[in-house]
Amino acid sequence: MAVEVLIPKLGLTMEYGLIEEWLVAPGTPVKPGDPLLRLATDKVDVEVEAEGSGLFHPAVESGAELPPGALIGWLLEVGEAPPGVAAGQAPPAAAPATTTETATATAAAAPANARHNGRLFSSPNARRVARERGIDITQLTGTGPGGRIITADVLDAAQQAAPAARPGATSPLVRRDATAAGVDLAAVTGTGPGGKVLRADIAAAARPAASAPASAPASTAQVIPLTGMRGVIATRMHASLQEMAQLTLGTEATMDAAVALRAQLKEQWQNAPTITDLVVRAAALALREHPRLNASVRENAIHVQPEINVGLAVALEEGLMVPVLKRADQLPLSAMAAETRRLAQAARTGKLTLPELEGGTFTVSTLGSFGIDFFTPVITPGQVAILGVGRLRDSVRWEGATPQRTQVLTLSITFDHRAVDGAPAAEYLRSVASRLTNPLTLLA
Amino acid sequence: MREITYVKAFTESLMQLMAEDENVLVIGEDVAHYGGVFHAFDGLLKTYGEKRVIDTPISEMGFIGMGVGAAARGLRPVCDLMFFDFIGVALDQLYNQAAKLKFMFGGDVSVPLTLTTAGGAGLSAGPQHSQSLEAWLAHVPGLKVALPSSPYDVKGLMVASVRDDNPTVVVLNKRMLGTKGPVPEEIYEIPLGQANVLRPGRDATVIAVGRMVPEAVTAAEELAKDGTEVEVIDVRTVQPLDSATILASIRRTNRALVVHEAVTFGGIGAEIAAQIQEEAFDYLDAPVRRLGAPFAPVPFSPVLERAYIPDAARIASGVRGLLERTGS
Repeated sequence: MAVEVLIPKLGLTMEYGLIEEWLVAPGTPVKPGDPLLRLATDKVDVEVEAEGSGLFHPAVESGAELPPGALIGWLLEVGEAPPGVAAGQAPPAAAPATTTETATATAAAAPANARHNGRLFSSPNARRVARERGIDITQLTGTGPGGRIITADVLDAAQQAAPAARPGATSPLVRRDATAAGVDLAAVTGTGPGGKVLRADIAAAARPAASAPASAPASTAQVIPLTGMRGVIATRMHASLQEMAQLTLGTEATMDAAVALRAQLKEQWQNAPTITDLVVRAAALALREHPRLNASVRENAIHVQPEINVGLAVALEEGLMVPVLKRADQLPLSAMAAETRRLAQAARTGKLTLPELEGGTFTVSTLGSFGIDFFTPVITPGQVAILGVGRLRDSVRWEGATPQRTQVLTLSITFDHRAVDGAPAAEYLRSVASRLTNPLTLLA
Repeated sequence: MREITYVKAFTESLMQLMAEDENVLVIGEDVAHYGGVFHAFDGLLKTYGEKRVIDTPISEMGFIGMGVGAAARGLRPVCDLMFFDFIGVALDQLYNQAAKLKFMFGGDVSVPLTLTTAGGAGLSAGPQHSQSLEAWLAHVPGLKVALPSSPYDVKGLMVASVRDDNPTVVVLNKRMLGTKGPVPEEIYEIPLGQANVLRPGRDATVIAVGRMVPEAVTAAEELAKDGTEVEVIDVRTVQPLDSATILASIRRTNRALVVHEAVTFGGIGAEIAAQIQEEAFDYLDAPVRRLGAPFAPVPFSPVLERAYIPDAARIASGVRGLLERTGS
């Protein structure tokens, strides 16, 4: 019995999902929990896992954008055919249209295939190479023992096909790039194996047109499309700076007691808090006293939020994610430390769920581990402030005329001047700093 | 480098191993005063004396058992079984005792026993003195089995086997005893479980065991004249088997032929072919081909015996079969 693969609904507001990439090849056996595809929504990139087992058979190509519940493939039993072609798009056509001489020639030769009771004999390596080069093996003539198709036959076909850019031999990703860049695929010379058109070829073809009006730079630039997570970051950060009146204040927090407390907790707790955890705890408690920084500006009004939900910016190899600590002011320090660790780990492994990314009312961003002392963070849209955390570093404190070694870190607060003025923002920042200076209040 | 014979490389390895470690001793039929039926032990008695080079009565069960006991008590015995074919009468000592003791005693006992023996056909020695039974022993967890294919390998594999803390069987090939080849004078080791790629190639891989290794090299040289480049791999030990080297080669050449002197049915080639299809199925351009002896005892008649054992010509023809493009 075929198991249907559907676009999952990942959040209440999700209206469509973009199949960024199929993670398994057609015909691959999968079991529950195996990642099947990468799906992008307007909020999040997720891996969708198989819910049943069987041989995977896609119904649509990657690049398709469909609403939740749409049928995108099946998990079939061995020997089972996909139940009709009910999905929006038919699977890729078996043979390329006879528009080129090569295609006509191979089609004419097709009946010579060694078929034995309907089975086409071909070597496993020939099938692998054909798959990798996008060659339809059913169109080949075998020259191995008994007419078996062997690797050499596939390579011969690849060489013959090289001059013509066959649309059947390009990957869906390449076709999507071509459409997006307005490039005519047929006019592109492929540099891949067997003349296959690669993404780089599309980028190269798109470049002269884009830079034509200005004096074209001699060197070739790398093109990174603003899609997926990159696209989300670009849109949101630009919107933030465009909508809000942002400015940043900074101050130093003395950390000697906090560092000592952390060292003590490290010996006693399994999930000892990090310095960042202490800062997040201090920030959440201080928000209780300064609720105007835990707000949202919309429809010409400041909406003070009923809950304190703190987002934590986590840097990833390709961008960043902001998982949210719900009711952060009500989480005891130990529970918070465990939760931040779990969320950061989930962010790095791409396992965050949409609810874990929604509902933030304030954000903490740290660049201390990158050696940064001070920076001006950009407010998450829908919020009015963000706290930046710098590097823990050695400094000097004066006791009378005597210099004392001390550890400090710099805190910065970017706030939306439409909602908050300089003085209350400074008071908030001082409140956070003083909680870190006297960290026993964080244990309460 | 100086060249010495296969059998002299064997004697030299023992000479040096006994000098290096006074726990090494030799036990077997005619190994002391006669120097072994193939003169593989010549000179050991004179150098190391009767306490370390011991002649035994004709009782394989007895003296291999003595070796197992000596090994369990801390010595490093080399027991010599005159012909591989005689293993049947002493098999319990090897597969049930030597191979199992470490496991039965939770790792507290090791058995650094080396069993040396002579196998293989080609000397008209008849069906009871010509067999290749390595697959029997390779099937037993706890035993290591080496089949040296050159004078260089004899010495290196002997040194590794005697130094190894577990029971190891070194099967010399009778037909190769007089073969000469370069052998370093100093003592050296060839790790057990590391195959030897004798010749690189891109068109097909021949995996050979024991005396079939030089035959495979001859076949590869013959095929190279027509532009066919064959990779030749000597497994060196059938247990442990260096599957990684074999599989990496198949993934490049896409074709494999396994050749050994032993009967094809249930031979080590069956294991190698099975591993190739399990691990590299998508890289095969032809079915894995096996070449071995037919399912019959080794014939006495020299003419029949020649027809019985694979050789370079049959290996070359097997490779041509793998590369065949006959069309439909």
